[in-house]
Amino acid sequence: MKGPSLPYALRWVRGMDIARWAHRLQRWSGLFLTAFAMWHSLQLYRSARDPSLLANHLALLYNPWFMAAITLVVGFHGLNGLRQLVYEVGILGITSQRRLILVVKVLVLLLAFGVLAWRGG
Amino acid sequence: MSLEITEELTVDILILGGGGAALMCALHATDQVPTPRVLMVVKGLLGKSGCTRMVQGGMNAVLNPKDSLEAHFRDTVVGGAFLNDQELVWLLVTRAPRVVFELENRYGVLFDRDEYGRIHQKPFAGQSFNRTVHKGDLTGIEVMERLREAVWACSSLAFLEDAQAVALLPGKKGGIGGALVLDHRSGRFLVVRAKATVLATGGGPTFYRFSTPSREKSLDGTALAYRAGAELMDLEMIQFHPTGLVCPDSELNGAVLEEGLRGAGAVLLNARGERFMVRYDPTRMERSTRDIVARAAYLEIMEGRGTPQGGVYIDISHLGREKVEAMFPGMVERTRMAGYDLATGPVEVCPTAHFIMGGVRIDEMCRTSLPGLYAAGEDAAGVHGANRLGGNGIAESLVFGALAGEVLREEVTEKALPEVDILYAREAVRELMNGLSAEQGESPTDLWVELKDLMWSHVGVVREEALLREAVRRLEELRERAKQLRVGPTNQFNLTLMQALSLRNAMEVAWLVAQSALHRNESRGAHFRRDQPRSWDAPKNLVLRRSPDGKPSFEWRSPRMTRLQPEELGKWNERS
Amino acid sequence: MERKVVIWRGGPDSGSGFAEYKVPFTPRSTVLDALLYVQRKLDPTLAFRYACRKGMCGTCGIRVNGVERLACSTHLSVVPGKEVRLEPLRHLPIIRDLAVDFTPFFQRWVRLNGAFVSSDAGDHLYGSSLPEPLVRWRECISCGLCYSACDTVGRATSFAGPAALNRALTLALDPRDEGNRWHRVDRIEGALGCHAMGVCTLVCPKGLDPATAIQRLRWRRLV
Repeated sequence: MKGPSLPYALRWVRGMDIARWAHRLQRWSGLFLTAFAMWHSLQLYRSARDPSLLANHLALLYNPWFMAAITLVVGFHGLNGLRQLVYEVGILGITSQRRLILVVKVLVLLLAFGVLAWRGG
Repeated sequence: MSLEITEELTVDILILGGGGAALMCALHATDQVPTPRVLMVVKGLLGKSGCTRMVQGGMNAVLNPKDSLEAHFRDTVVGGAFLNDQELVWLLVTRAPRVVFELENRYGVLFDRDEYGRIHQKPFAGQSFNRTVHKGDLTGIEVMERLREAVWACSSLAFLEDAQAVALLPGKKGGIGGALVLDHRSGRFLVVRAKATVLATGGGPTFYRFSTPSREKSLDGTALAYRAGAELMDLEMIQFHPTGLVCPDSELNGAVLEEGLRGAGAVLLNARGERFMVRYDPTRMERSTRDIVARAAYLEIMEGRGTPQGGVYIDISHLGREKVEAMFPGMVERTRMAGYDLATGPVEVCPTAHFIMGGVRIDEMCRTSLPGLYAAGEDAAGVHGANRLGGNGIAESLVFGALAGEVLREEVTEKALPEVDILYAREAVRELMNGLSAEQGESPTDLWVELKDLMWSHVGVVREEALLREAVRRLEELRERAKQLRVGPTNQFNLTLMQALSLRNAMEVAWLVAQSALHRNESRGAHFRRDQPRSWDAPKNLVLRRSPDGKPSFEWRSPRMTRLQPEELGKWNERS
Repeated sequence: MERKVVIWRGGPDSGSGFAEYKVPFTPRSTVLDALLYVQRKLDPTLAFRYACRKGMCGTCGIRVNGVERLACSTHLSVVPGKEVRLEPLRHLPIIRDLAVDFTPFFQRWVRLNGAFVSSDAGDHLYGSSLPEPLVRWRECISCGLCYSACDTVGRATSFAGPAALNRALTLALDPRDEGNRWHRVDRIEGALGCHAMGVCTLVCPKGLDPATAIQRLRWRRLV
């Protein structure tokens, strides 16, 4: 039960914003993915009517930069979502989560980079 | 600035204050149906400002079968140098255990337990038995948070925060019919008519250079009572806590380090490293009563054996770092904030003004000499006599607050609502605001500093006639200067205005304290006169009342010694 | 030594903005000392709250460089950056300058049934202590820092807030309490509305952990 010996008055709090930032990004990425899903569905529907549109649509989707971007967003939303689940439910203690967010950040960047490398030039 | 009285409220019970006594009074008054209409007027935030909150040590109560009410009674009366009103003391000791049960079972307070699950009672100075219940070193926070929750959850209790009474209003048929209140949040005055008004503002001798109470305290209740013509008693009895933090470059200066330190074995050392208490009370050493230890420390400092900053050392590090951190975590933290470390070394401390035993004279029903006016807690006098034992302060507030609530619950059902003179109230507003202006007048800040320095040097721990006379004279000059104060352009949450109002109350009471100290030509308990070091054989209370010209008229009265006579304890003169 | 202190000024009937002051300080000076210096020597119209000045009353909460802190328990020497920026707590109505009205904070606490309930009026004492960390988590001084730091409190005006929920947990696990509050806790306005950001725990001046307390309240629902 021993706390740090430096009293509160002399301790400065850092890293307040990481969790807030992760939360906000989760919401924005969720919005983006919903919009993307709607747009993607719409394009496929239109392609069913007019097959000539399909090639254009697929060209965009298979563009390495686009793929990397989507991986980034989906990857972040998914992994961060998992992280949120782990903490909201209580599998891990909340005060350890700043490190895990950083881990998520790094993983997602690696994944996106990997996709770019695999699909790009 | 608005001079209008914008609202008139009508209640059954008006409680001035928001600390232990006030909350207990409110909760007990609304305990049963039909509930009277209660309004609390709190200077700061309910349950958060004030000094009950700051209690570190604990509360005395007889709970152990090996202890006895007679022992607690005897300790209190002996500690008070027989100046106590013994009927009030008996109420204190008999009702304190009941309050402990109530706090725990009804309000959810949980005091510390020992390893067997029994309530832990720690040793405190001046007591013949270890009877101080506590929660760690933050008993006040525990009690006040539970009471605060109870009050907020109670829908029949109304309160105004950031508001203070600036005058008591006389009823047209005599007595007190309510109060004129200034609401700082809106900057407006309102009149509150009440069948009963309770003073529970908590005393608070902040007019010294070093003082422990919460910073908004300024003896408001005592000043209001004096101006209204109530009887006040034993105002010269001011307790200086021996161990206040020395930290002159911060507001933390004077903050108290609890008595439990000395109870647990801390030693006091002067600049030479000597345990100087051996020269003042060789039998009890550091565990002597507060008045003796404070005087000892003060004399060491005055005679040149103090530290460069003007203090002495308290050292408990010999208990080991882990133990000190476990027993007194809050205090360890505070000393580290001030650049020391209680767990590993000595801390510089000096006597600091802590509590005023004197105040408004009450009887066993918390009634003052004015009908319709009641008082409970530090505002009231008579319970502690000439010196208060550690742990009895919060006991007094809670016991007498509850008592006042119970008494009033019965009384207000029969009483008629008094009529107050609105013209009186309007005149009071005009008079108040005339002396406060945006640009002209003295600065309250400067006058506060002058007041504090004057009281510390002239009406402090050790007093003498010449200095007291000079103090009275200079206080009268200060009061003259304080008639016109510069407070800035607004009424709304104006800190300077609040400090000005506090200044006037503090100055008035300081003037009464100096005069009372001059009148009492003896040394007794906390009041020590270098030129009159002996105590009289028969203890006498000094009662004062405001006469029509504004000056106090004094009277000596015998304390009610209904249960224990000094002769029964042998000569106690040898102790002081 | 001197520091530039920038204080948010404003109120219901006046404009708002930041005012700059230069404040002297020593290694032991706190933000409260700086505020008092400004009010006493430079600008008597400055409004802020303070009482006990030693970290026990929980009255002096403000934001220092964006971080919720107790003014009396924050040394000027540890505040980073070129200037010390002081703003009032969030999610509370502003009375004037840095003084806020804590009523909504306490009202949310009341709505959660956050008070001890017992019909016991006996002359006896509970024969045990409470388990850790319950003992620690009951030491809340209701200062409102966690409430201000919580984004969800700002976004959802009916969300109880970290302090109230922490109290709900300590009450729920107190064997003497007979209160009924699960219907208030087990919903979006209670523990289920928390997004586990954990900023509340970061700012608590007494070292409490409301984020974990809320986590426990949620976990109970799933188990």
